[in-house]
Parts: sequence; C-alpha cells; structure tokens
Amino acid sequence: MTEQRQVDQAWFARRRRAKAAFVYAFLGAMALAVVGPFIYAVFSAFKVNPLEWPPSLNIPRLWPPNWVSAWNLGIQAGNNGWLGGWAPGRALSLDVVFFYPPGVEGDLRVEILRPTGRGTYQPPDPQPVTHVEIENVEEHHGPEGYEKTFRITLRNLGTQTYPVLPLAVVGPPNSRFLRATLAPNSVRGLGTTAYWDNLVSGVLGYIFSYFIQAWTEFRDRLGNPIFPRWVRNSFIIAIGKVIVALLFAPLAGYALARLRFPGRNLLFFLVMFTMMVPQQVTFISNYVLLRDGLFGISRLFGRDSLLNSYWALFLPALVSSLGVIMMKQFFESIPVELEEAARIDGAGIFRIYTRIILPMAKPALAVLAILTFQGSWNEFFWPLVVLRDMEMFTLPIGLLFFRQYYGAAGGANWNLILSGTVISAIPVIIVFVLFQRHFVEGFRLSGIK
Amino acid sequence: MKRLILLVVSAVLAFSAFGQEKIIIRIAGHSVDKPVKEALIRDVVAPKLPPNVEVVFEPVVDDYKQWLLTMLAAGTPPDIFYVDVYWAEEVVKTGRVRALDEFLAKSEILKKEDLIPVLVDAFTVDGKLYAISKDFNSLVVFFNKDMFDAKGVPYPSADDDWFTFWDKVRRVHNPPEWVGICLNPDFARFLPFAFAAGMPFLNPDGTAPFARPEAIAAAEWFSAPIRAGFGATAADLGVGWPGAAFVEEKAAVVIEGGWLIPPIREGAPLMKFGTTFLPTFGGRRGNYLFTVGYGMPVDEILPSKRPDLVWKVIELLTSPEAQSYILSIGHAIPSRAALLSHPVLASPADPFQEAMRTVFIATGLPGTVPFSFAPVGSIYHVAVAEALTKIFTGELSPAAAMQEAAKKLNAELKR
Amino acid sequence: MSWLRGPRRNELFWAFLFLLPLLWTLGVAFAYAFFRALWWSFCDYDLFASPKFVGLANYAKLFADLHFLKALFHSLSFAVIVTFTQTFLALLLAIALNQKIRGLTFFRAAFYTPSILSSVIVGLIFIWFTYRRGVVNFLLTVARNYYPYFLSFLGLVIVMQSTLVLWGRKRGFPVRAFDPVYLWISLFVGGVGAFFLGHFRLIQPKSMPPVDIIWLETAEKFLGIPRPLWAIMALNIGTTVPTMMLFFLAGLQDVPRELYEVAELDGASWWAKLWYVTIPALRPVMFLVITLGLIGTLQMFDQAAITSGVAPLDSVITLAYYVYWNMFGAGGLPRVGMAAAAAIFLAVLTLVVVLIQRRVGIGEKAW
Repeated sequence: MTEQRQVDQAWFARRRRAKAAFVYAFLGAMALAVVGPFIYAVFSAFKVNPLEWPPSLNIPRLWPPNWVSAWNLGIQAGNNGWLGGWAPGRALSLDVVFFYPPGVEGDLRVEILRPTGRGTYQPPDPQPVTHVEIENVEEHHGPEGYEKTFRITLRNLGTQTYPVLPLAVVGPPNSRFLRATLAPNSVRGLGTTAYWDNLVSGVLGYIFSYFIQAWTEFRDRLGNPIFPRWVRNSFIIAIGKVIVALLFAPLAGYALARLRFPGRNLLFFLVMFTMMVPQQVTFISNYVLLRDGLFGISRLFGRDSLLNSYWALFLPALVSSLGVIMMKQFFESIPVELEEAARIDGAGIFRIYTRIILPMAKPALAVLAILTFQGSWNEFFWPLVVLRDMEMFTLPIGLLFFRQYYGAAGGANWNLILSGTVISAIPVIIVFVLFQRHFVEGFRLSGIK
Repeated sequence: MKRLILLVVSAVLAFSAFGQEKIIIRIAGHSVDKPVKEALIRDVVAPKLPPNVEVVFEPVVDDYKQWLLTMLAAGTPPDIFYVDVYWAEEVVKTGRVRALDEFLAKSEILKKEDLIPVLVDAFTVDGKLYAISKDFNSLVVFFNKDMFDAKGVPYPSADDDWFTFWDKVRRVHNPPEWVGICLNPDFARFLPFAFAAGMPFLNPDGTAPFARPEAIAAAEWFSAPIRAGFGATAADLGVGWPGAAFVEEKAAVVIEGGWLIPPIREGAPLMKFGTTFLPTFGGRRGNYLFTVGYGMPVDEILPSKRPDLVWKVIELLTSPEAQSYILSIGHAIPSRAALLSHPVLASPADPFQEAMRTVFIATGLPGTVPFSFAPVGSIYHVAVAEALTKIFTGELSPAAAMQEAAKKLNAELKR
Repeated sequence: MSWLRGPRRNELFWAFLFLLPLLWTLGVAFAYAFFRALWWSFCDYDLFASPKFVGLANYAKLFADLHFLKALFHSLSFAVIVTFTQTFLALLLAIALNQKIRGLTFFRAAFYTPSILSSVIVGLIFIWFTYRRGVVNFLLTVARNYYPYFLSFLGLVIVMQSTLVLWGRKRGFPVRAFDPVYLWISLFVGGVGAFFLGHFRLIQPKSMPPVDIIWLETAEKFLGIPRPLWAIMALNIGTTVPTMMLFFLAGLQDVPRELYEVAELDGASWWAKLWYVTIPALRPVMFLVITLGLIGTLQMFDQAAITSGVAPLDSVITLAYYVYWNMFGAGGLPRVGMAAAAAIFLAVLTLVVVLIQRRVGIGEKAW
C-alpha cells in the first residue's frame, strides 16, 4: 500500500528548477534555430563553394594555420603580411605534398595563371616575369607509394608589383595532390592539379577574399566598383530619412496630441487608416507622379522625371504614419501640467515645442531614429519600383541583382552573394546590438509584433 | 591684324564647339556581357569615333525580350539592342525594327559576303535583314581527356555515330567518381538529334512530327544514358547545369556550346579537355545555331536621331578588329568568315582555342539550323520539353511520351 | 505676428504649420494616390496614351485572368494558414514556457534577428537553404539516415522514464508522468545509451540516397497549394513565432498572480486555469495580433518577388505581386488599369477580412 510521503519544499524546488531547465533548453534551441542559419551563412561566405554537397564546416579560409601561411607568404612577397602584393625582386616559397603511387614518376609543373573575374574585363596584365624553382625536399615511403614534398620557389624578376598571383601546380598523371602550406582553392585534373586564386593576398586578402571580390569586382563602365555605390546610396538615404523623420514626425505627433483644431480626430483616424491600405494601391499614382516630375516642379530644375534618383526615395511621402502615431502616443504621456505651466508663463506654442517637448522626447526620438534607419535600410518594394539604373540601387535591390548575376545556373558564385549579404547586414546588426532596448521599445510602442 | 585673326579663329572655334553637342549612343544587352562589351567599346569602338560621340552599354537585368518589347512599344528603345535569333521574328513583327539592307549595301566596311551565310539567313525576315550577327554558337561535344585516359577509352571524334558514341560514354562511366555524361532533358540538345534522324520540323500536312518512328528512335537514343544509368542529370549531380558538372569533374562528357569555354577557363584552366562534333546518324548530323545580332529601332523612335552614326557603331562593333579582339579574349566566336584565318582559329594553341575552332566549324556543317521556332512558337518546344522530362524521370516510355507530345502540339496548332 | 488675433487663431496656425508634412503626405501620397488608382481601375491606361474609361471591364478581366485567380487563392490561403498557425504556435509556446525567464534580453536579441534584417537577406538565405542540394535537404537526409538512433533514443527514454515514475510513485512521491527531474535523467540515459549502441555497432546509420525534395523550383502542389508557397509559409511562420511568443509571454506575465491563486484555491486543474484565466486575459492582445497578422500576410509581396526568379511565377504569385507584375513584369506596356483594379480589390479584401475578423471576433469571444 502506497502512502503519500510528506515531501518537503526542496523536492518541489528541484522540480521547479528542472522544469525551468527545460524552458531554458527549449528557448536556447529556438534561438539556435533562428540565428543558426545566419551564422552558417556568414561562415559559408568564406567557402569556395557554398553549394557543396555534403555541406561541411571544413573551411580553409577560416583555418588558422592557413592564416599563418598567408601571412608568411605576404611577408615573403613584399613585407606586407596583411595585404600582400608581390614586389619586384622578392621570392616566395610554397611547400606542396603529392602522393606518387608505385610506378609513377615525373616532376611537378608550375604555371602562373591569368587572373579572372567576371565583374570586369581588363586587358590581360603582362604575365609576371618569374623564375621558378622546384626542389624535391622530402620523401616518405609508405606501403602504397611515396609521399613527396616539394618546395616551389618563385621569384619576381619584373619591375612591378603584382597584386595577384594565381598559381597551378600539376603533378604527373596518376599522382595525387595531398596538401600544401596554403590550402588550394580547388583540386582538379583527377587530383593532379591544385589551383590557387592568389598566393600573395596576405592574411586579410586571404580570409576576406570573397568579401573583397564582392566589393570590388563588379564595376560600372567607368571602372568604378558598384557595390560600394550601393552601400553609399543606402547610407545617404537612410540617414536622410532619419533626419526628415526626426524633423517632421514629432511635429505632426505633437499637433495631434496637444493642439486643438477642427477635424483632429478625423485626421488621426485617417492616419491609422493609411496603415491598413497596402502600398500596392498608392504606389501606382506615386510612381506616375515621380515620372511626371512631381506636377512638373522638377522641370524648373532641369529634370523631366524624378525617377531613378534619390528624390524618388524621399518623395512623395514625407512622414510615415507609424512614426506619427508613435510620437503622438508618446507626447500624450507627457504630463499636461508642464505645458500649461509654460503657457501661463507666456511661452508660445513654438517655444513650448522646441524648449520643453522636444528635449523630453529624446527616448522616443531615439526609437524613431532607429526604426526609421532600419526601415529605410531594408526597404525593398519602393526602391524596386523607382530605381532602374544599377548605379542608383540600394543594397536590397543590389543584392537581388547579385543573385541574378552571380547565382545563375551558368556560374554559381554564391560566396559572393553571401558576402554581399553579410556586408549589407552589418550596419543594421550594429545598430541593433547597440540599441536593442530601443528596438523593442519601438515595437511595443507601435503595437506591432 | 593679329587681334583680328585671333578674333576670327576664336569665333570659328567657338562655333565649331557649338556644333559639337554630345551624342550618346546607347547599346542595351545582357548584363553578363557587361565587362566584355565595355572593354570592347573602350578599346576598339571609341577610338574610331569623333570625340563628341559617346557609346554607352546599358545592361538589362530582367527578361531581355520583355524589356525590349516594352521599350519598342513605348517608343523609348535604345539605339542598338541585341536581337536573339530565337525571338527575332517576334520583335521584327512589331514593325519597329529597322531593316538594315540599305545600310549594308552602302557600307564600305561591312559587306554581305563577309558574313557567314547561315547567320545572314537567321536574321532575314520576309526577305529583309534586320540584325547583324555579332557572334554565334553551336553545340559540340566536350570531353575530359584525363578521364578517358584513365579508363583507356578512345576519345570521341568526328567519326563517331550514335552507337559508337554511347559505347564510349558507357565505357568511361566511372561511378562514384564521375558519370559518363551529364545530360538534362533539354529540348535544345535533343532536337538536333531528332532532325539528324530525319524528323522534319513539322509533318508535310502541318501536324506535329513527334510520333514519327525517327523521332521516337531519337528520343530512345537521347535518353539512353539516364535510363541505362551511365549518365545523370545536372540536378542529380548537385549542380545547376551540365557545364558545371564538367568543370567540377563530375562528368566525362557534356554537350554544350562555346559558352562553356569561359567557365572552364575560370574554374579549371589547365583541364585537359577536347571537343568534337556531335555524333552522326546514318551519316547525318544536326545542330543548332545560336546567335545574337545588333539591331536598330526604326528612325522615328531612334533616340539619338542619327541613324548613320548608329550604323557606324554597329559596323565598328562587328568590324574585323572588334571580332578579332573578342576572339582573342576567348569570349565568343565571331561572325565574319575571314576570321577563320585568325591565328586563334587557324592554329589553336590550347584546348580553349581548339574548342572555339570546333564550334566555329560545327556551325558551318550541313544540318545546322538556326535556333528558332517561328512560326509555330514556343508551344513547339514546350511539348518536347515536357515529353523529355517525363522520359527522364521514367514516368513514360519514350514512345508514349513522344506520342503525347504530338497530341499536345496538334491540339495547340488547331487553335 | 501681430495680425493674428487671439490664442485660438495662433493655435490653429501652428497646428497647420506642424501638420504640413503630414497633410502633404496624406493628401498627395495617400488620398490623391488612392483616388487616382480608383479612377484608373476603371480605365484602360498604359502610362503613355491618355486613360480611356472602360467602366468595370478591368474588374471583369481580373476574374477571367488565371493569374489573378491563382494570386487570390494564394493570398487567401497564405493569410489564413500563416496567421492562425503562427498565433496558435506562439500562444502554445508562451503558455508552455510561462515563467520568469532570466537573460530574456539575450533570447530577444536572437529571436529578433530575422525581423531586423532585410527581407532580401532572409529571402536569399532561404533560397540557398532550400536548393535541391542545400542545407534543408541535407539535414533531412542526415535525420533519415540516423533514424535507428532516434528510435533507440526514444525507446530508452520511454523505458527509463516509466521505470523512474513507477518507482517514484511506489515510494510514495507525488510524481507526475512527465516529472522534469526524472525526465532529465531519462533523456541523459537515452542519449548516452543510443551513443553507446552506435559505438558498439548494435545500431548503425543507414546510407540511403539523399533526400531530394525540390522546395522552390517546382510547380507541384500539396493539398492544392504549390510547394514553394508552403515553403514560404514555413519561412514566415518560423521567423514570426519566436518574437510573437515573447510578446504573448509578456502579456501572460502581466496576468495578476492573484487570479491564478484564486483558481488554485478553488481546486482548478491546469486545463481549467488555462481556459478560464489565461486565455481570457490574452483575448484583446490576440485579437490585435490576429488582425494585424491577417493584414500583413494578405499583402505579402517581398518573398514572392525574391523567389520569383527561382520558383515558377504561378506558384508564388500573390495579389500584391500580381499588381506589381501588371505594372512592370508582364512584358509589353504597363497594364495600369488591371494593376489598379487588383490593388483596389486587395484593399477592399483587406477591409472585408478585418471586418469579418471583428464580427467573428476570434480572440474576442472564447474559442
């Protein structure tokens, strides 16, 4: 016969702690599931082929021994371990290990390749004038064959510095490449040929090679890289919009909150209403408005159409309904007494606004600024509609173009796409990490999410 | 006196500068061509134009044909645009593309005889020429010599017929390291073989030809690697297209065009590979000609309002120098017959140049037809594509699939 | 400003001045735009020639257009399935995890990550993940190959837990079936056991061919809805549930403890507490969440646009994308009349759905 034991508080406490442990474990698993893909994407931006199957975490560019090798090679090539570059007169050495099955003989062949890149075409650089020396440094006999280590020394006999040194090392037929001081980019030729994109990239050039490539490779017709242009566009527009929002939204919010005028409730209702109407309804007219130069005003300044310009992203909507509502709710929470006291003292509305209200609104303004920045940086639909020239793209549209250009079946360069993605996520992540509190404030203030 | 001369000279200079307003000629093309085109304009075209003329390449990101049709309809086209033989007739039918015969007749640099005849035909609609071919491509067999050596199989060659060819592919098939051939259910690869087998484009009575015994035989042959297991589709190999499988050394053989050359150069520059013509059936060989040309809009909607200048730019873009330039950077096969004597094509120095030469010659072989489905339209190849997909997944037998395709096309044609 | 008389005039003047940007925006970018779109929806307009009035022809054409009907079906099913699934899941999770959580900031930061990144970034990573030889299929392949381990793990856990619970009860403790302390022990034993079973080759991972589900590049349907759309639904739900759960959690923790204590004094079971205390407390919040969710999902555009290059258009088209497509995508000149008609339809549909939601009052009354 079982009886209920008298259990003490400690027993229940243990149960509670165990349950809490489950809760934390589950939350942790959820956090991993949400953040995991992005972290994996960041790692994969360093891979030679992010589309590899099976996907692995064996990433040469993130393997510290390779960093050391890249540094050493950079120093050898021109005393610059960070950024590399092969200076005249410098020599560098690379050790490679090949496997020779029994009966296979022959030397290595070393070839210096032409740099390729699909974002730009320049006439081929003159081939580096080099002296190549191959030395069989070591041999290990194994049961299945020989492991031969070769030291390859390359000397720059020319008069200029080469920023890139692509190399191929070919072993005799039926040999197999095993390893080298610096991991090759790919091994082909049924194992006989190892390719390096750039031996003299230096540590930074090595680790961030795809980021650098995404940043510099695609150029406009004048030879200027386009990706930085996109970043610049996004920044200018985001900061501009923050300024505009900080100027105009509090004005409207205060008017709605504290000033009395006919139709005030109607106006507020209208503002709320606009948030329900989809962008698809209003964008048609706004697009045509911009195309016609905003009622022809732009013609005064010599432009027929405002499409494809920064103006198109600021006009015609000047304030966001969300910002106005947020500021209104905030202003309503400021005690009326403060204003009444100021009015009794004879202050005008404008002075009350600038001297009393605005300074108190700093936290709400901070939230407004952050939300506006993030909204503008990530904006997708409207820039997609109004921007046609590649030079005017903002980052989201540029990234979409990157996927079409670099992700096409004909040549999947997903490491560049992922690098571009990471670069464009950095500013928002920084803002978020620094101001996380304000983000959540903002979400709560606006009643969304 | 000196002052007078100075005055006159400066007046003359001022006037001449006044007359020299800047003219911008816009070329619109695929965005992937951007780097080469801009290099070509910078190095070959711009030096030959007066300083006030600027040529700008504007890449089109989305569906090029849709964009072009929109621009032509709206009256705001570029000065020069690409015309793909595949949809040339559709664009010409808008009535807004300029016929180039009169320019060609008057031209000193460009003569009809200079151009390869089949390329001229490709862009001739209702007897008038509407685009000057800038380059072309056709299908050849690419094979990895190392893999063939490793398995001791002789290389595919121009003497191969359908059966010896598959025999070689079967022998070089080496799972799990590489498959014999990477083949997609692609109508653009299948139809040349069907034509070589004797299938006409349409039956004499205008109905779909797919149920004919030749077509079914071609379908059986074409799908043999997948059904018998010595080949795989690109998706099976985890790549986006057969070319990638070839570059990544997952397949020993692929059937592609000259566009595979740059990816090989980029991904495996020292690959030992060879190229040869497509295998024959009963002595007959089929092939598709893919070509893109430069076209102009009609004078009324020409933005720069200078048809002569625009024509001059087209001439420069297709001049022997320009085509030689493009050939040297290994980008495309030029359209001028004389280029056959260019060193790259006459005495190729590496597998890439050999490949270009093979493609060049393959185009001129009998049996090559332009890649166009006018006047039937895309319903033709959509029916074929569906049939091929079903054959490759094993859903239908080749015979059943081809008969279904014939029924589908006939139903569409009746409309 | 001596010519302004009286404080009232003064206030009106300032109000007007302060409101100018808002008035401009509402007037030009909203009201003018709205009515122009309405007008154009009754016209035939291609942005170049003048609009020609055609009455209700555009609306009739909409319902004859297969693309529109597909877009309508997609938008409706997307809205309903995503909104209710994400709300339900978030609620469930919030209730299950309802307790004081420390380090909430850290979790919040993690859960908000997809929300702060641009939809393009999330979309591109999604496309990359769902490639035929992508991460999703890889994880599924590994999971499928390792199913013997999962089965043995599960079996061991069940055996261990039952043993512990029965033993505990025998000794007189008030042990519940899923007693947390014992559960941790069972999970540990299960894990270690499965590991050792594998180590000693008693069970082995299978080597089956890789899972080859085509998520995006297909037009195949499941239950009438295209698979790419299901994938996008999963993406939306997966990125929204964590933050929504936190939101509900905050709401739950605002429920006064006294209510629960009273219920317990009355001897209420956990189910009764849920039904009579928790859910009623969350009603207003849930209503807001569902309404906003419906509005947002009905107007889904970004994911359709981003995946439209990879998935067939007809498989991911939504009403919002249909509008854009008529303006800029379909080739030929913009079909402004059709786009405007579809946009107005979308706006009305949103309104109707919100009104229905108010009537039916999901969240307002007990469900």
